[in-house]
Amino acid sequence: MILINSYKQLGTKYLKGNMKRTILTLIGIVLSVALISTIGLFMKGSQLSQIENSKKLNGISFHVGISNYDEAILNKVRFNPQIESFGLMSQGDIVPVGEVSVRINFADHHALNFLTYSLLDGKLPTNAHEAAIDSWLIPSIKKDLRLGDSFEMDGQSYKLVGLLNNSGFTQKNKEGRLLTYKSEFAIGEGRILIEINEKADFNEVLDELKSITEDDNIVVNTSLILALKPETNQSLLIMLVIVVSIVVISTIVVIYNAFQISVVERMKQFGLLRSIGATRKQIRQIVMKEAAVLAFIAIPIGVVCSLLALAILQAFFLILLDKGSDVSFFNIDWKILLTSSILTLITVLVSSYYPAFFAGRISPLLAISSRLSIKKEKIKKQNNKVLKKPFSFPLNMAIKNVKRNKNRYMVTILSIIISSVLFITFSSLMDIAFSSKLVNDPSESDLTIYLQEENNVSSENLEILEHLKLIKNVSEVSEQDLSFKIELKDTNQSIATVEDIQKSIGKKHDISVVNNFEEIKAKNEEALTIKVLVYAFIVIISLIGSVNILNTITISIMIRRKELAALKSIGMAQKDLKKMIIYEALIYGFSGSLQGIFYGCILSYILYTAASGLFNVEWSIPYNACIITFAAALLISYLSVLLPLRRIQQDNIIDTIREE
Amino acid sequence: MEVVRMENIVKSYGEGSNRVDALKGIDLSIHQGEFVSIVGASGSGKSTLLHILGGLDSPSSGKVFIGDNDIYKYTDNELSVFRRRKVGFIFQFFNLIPVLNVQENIVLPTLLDSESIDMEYLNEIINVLGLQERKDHLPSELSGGQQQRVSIGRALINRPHLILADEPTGNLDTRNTKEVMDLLRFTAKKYNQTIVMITHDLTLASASDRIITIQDGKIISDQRLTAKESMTGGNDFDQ
Repeated sequence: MILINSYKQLGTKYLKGNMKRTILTLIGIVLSVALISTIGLFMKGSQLSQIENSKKLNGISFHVGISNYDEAILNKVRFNPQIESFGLMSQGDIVPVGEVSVRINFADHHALNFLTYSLLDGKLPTNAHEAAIDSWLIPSIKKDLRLGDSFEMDGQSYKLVGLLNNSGFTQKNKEGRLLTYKSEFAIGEGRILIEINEKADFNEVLDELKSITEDDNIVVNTSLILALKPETNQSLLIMLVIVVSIVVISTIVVIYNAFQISVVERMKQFGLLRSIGATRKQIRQIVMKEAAVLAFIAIPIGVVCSLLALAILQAFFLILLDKGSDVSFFNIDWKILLTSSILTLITVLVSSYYPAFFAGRISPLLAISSRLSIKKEKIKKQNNKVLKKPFSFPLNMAIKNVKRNKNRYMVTILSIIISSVLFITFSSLMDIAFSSKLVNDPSESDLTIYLQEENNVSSENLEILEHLKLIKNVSEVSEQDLSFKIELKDTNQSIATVEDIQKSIGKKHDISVVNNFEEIKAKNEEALTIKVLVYAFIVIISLIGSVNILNTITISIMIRRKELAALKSIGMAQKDLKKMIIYEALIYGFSGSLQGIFYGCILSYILYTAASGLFNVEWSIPYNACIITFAAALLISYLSVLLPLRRIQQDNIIDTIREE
Repeated sequence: MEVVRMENIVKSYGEGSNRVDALKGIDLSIHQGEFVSIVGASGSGKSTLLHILGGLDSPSSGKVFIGDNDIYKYTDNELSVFRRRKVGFIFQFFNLIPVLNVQENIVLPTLLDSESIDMEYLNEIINVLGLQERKDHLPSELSGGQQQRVSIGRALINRPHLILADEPTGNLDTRNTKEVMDLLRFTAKKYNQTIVMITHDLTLASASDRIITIQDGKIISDQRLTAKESMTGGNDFDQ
């Protein structure tokens, strides 16, 4: 049986019969799902990488530390169900070793777990005879000290099991860390380190902890908490809401336009269906069914696309970064995928509802005569007499066509405005983010050498500078106050270079060398991650915008096929017709992009103000983005008329005038 | 038996000085099984009359009874169902759905009723219309005459009492015109249907049972033709 078995299949038949239109609409929906879920996954991924970064940068993963505690406080912490785990950590003596000194740190099992991120190599100590030390301390304690070797410190013998990462702070103060295990702590000794349950309300728990002790005794790991609970950050939330609403609005415009065209193209068919007895509801159902079918095809594709995009980015990072596995924003969060799918489904249904409603209202008389469709359009009368001379005839006609119907003008231009606004807002925000300290901190160099001599003679500095330049691995040296900033040729050799410097210059002068390499690397990786993600994001936004413009301009021309055929029949040359339509498209592109630029700048300023807590850079008009938008809008408008123009050229004049 | 009764139908468009009266008080009664032709000049109001008769356009005042029901008391929904089940339309421009094949176009009114398709009846119609070879073709693959036959099939599928035809042959050549007219007459007799047909071709009109002439929105003549006067040309099917 090859017959269709329900009138609702009419919609599917139509979708199949108009593959080009269907694919264009599908692309619109696919891009929307992909964009929304990519935003979600990107947010989630960058949150995860921010958490990871915060832990790595500070080397700690606890949320709160409490010092000067008593038994009551310890018990409150122990029995608080909101607290995931807690550990104890204390500092012991400072032991001088050669030119530097070593601070002994004790931690119990749980506290050691919070310090995993400080570990550069090896493992954390598990008993009182094992220790982990800052890696820059090695030359001072014992040359050629390796993991597994034993060493003496303060009359104790330790087995070296791990190396801690080098923070600038300890190197500058010449006070390294030695971390060892201790199981029993006296009440009040050291600090309680606390990890709060991730599902708990952090503010509530923090308030509770603050109420049992004095504020001075509490240290809060703000950067980690901010990364863990971004919703406590108002400006981030506002930005997310605005971004998602823009995407939703642009989806609505794309889908609405696509459906409005497909309905307008089939007005006569719907009229016929009405005349042979279809109810309004049945007509609405046919259109809504089409929307649902498209959504169900497009949404899974969109989800796959967004995952694919993320996977490609991930692969890209694996190649780009020497330790790519550190940046793992590729994480499939079903909640985000589901939410964005449902959001898009609702958006598609909502935006196809008006076209469906409109289709239901089509009069059955339309099947018999097209009188009504002509009557319906209220053409704005213009006062200027006949066509004025100053412009060419096609241009004049184009201006009249654009001006004659306010609604159609608004719908067409709205899509261009929205696309422009999207592009400008995002690209300008990205510029701001990149130039702010949020992402870059260019003041850091690979190595910094601090001169710690009392009497500073500039000739000596010059001597050191010259000396530094001779060291093999140094590519650039600059002098700043009492320090030298060094850029390395091969950053992997940083530890050896530090040793070289200590050996040569350290003998004559009292210096401390700070190796910033690891901190910089972490920061650079973070910046690169954000940059790539953001540019990928902007590419998708631009794609959505282009499809949108293409769709609307195609509609605005196809709607008028009959009228254009009439113009040809009275002798308008193909060349002039083409000119007229191209002029129309350019007028749309021109005024749409100008308005888009205007609103885009305003929106980017609003977003900037909303997020001003995050950035510390002045807002300025994003000239580059504006120019790109303007040029792209004109180009896309021009390109979008080429296809419908070809179809119109192929139209048989008489057939088009007489029928549909 | 009376199937259609129009009482003082007035239809006007526009307001005030722009007001145009398309129909100025039409009274009409049509009996079961009659073949009625409505003739008149362009703009006389004959199309408007047909549309009002079929529930496509509502009158400004007056009543239309089909069977015993005043159809303009119906809601929009009821009116749709009425058109679907009781009326079959045939248009000058066949108005087939381009993405559906011949069979699917014919069964469309049944599908709108969410009824299962009576395959026996469908095949009978296709045979009567001579579309056996074409039943899987799309409208674009058919000639004008064939397309009009499909639309006759669509009008017949729900076994309506009333067939309304608006210049059904207006878009066909002489040979196809004869074919379609013969078919209409044959099926009307076979399924005992009432036909109201608009035409401006007096030769076609003279082949019907009754000719109603409309001018400026009024009926100016209503002429019943005796069987002798009526040129029955449907012998191809009358056996």
